[in-house]
Amino acid sequence: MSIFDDRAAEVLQSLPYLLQGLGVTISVTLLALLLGGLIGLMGALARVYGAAPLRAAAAAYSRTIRSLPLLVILFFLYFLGSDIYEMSVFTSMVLALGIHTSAYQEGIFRAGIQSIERGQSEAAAAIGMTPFQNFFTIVLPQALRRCIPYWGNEAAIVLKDSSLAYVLGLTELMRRGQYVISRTHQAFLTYLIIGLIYLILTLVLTRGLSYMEKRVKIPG
Amino acid sequence: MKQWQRAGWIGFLVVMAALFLVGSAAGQETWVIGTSADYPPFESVDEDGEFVGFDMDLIREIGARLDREVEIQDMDFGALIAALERGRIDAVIASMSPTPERRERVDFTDAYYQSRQGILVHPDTDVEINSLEDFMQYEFAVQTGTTMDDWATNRVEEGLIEDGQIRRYGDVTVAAMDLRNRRVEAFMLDLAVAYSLAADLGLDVAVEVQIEEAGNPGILLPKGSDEELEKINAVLAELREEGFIDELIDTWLRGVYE
Repeated sequence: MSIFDDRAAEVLQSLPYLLQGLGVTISVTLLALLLGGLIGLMGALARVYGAAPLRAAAAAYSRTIRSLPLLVILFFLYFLGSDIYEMSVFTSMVLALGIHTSAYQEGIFRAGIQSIERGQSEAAAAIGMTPFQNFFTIVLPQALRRCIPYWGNEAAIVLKDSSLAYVLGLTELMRRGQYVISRTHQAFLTYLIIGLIYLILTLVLTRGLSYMEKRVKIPG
Repeated sequence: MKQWQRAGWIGFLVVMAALFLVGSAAGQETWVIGTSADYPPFESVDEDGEFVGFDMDLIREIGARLDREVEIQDMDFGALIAALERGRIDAVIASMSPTPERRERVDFTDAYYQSRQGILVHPDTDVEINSLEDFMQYEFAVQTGTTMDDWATNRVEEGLIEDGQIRRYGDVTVAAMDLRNRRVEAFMLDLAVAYSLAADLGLDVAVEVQIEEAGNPGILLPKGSDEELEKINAVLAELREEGFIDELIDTWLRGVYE
């Protein structure tokens, strides 16, 4: 079956319409990454420095979330969560994706923190730094730098997972693509275009992060 | 450290912007109608991003006569009843017919349309289908959660077909593509949609059928909304009498049954 059918032009004319979905895709992705980053970082701190019960709680959280499909978390928040607070699809998706990625980001941050040699913390204590000072000025800045490549992978996954919100009708890139497909019946071409848009987004994201990685690299 | 600070500020601004958006979207009093806008000619989205189709025109007219502002909330077909039960939407219009299972969970208004089914096949094929009995011999497609899906499931229970013969798809277009690529041999779906897909993808409607499972589509309301049901049924009767529904059939399904 050929990709360029007689209705291909109609699909190409829908490009601006598809691109309007980018704003939603990007804001869901950024907000979820940020939320997941905050929860993930707190989880990592709890698991590395926390007292035993806190450690256990953080580990249980991360294991539970990791075992739940994103769709389950999304439906849970959107349908059952509405008893507590009626969230829009957008809010539900940001929260669901943020919670989902937080479990993975927790692992990334924990690995980063644990990769900083214990000797540095001992040296910091020896020159009279408080544990707080030690963490924020010695451990965290180095740990976050080491996290960048792994965090970049996670960010690319979150970007594509954001498309799942289409099941609840959030008109992001993917759902808009489905509208175009049901109107023109040109599934191949439409998915190809959507794929290219995601490719460009991912490239911008990963390029941006590797640029940042170079910029903040510790000299020497 | 500068870079991290800057990233922090950007993140903060993004969060504030989102909170603002979420906040401004809430608090409007409207009649929220759920649909699954991937089912032309009943419901779809046009070039300008507007919801269009038979069902959309109908529900807007009903809304106008009841003096309500209709807001269309689109979602996956399978998520509609759950959304209605949880109060996320006020009603559903999605070319959905009553079944015993659905009636347990929601209320249906009177039917607004006589539904029939068509069986789509590839034009260059030796698949011979002249009746539902013929259809049962082949590997076929249905859309998940539809009355056609129920029909297939019931025939499996009766031992007339094997479960392995059924291919269930979330999306009618994807099923039609698979038929065109000969991954399935036949596809049963709503007649009007079958003709629209046949015209666009160069497929044939082998036969028109009527399955017992398919009642006729109505509007879905939450369980126990008697008063609302009466109101809408009255408007539907009015529209039928005035010929508005016939007009809609002319506009959206014209040519389909010729």
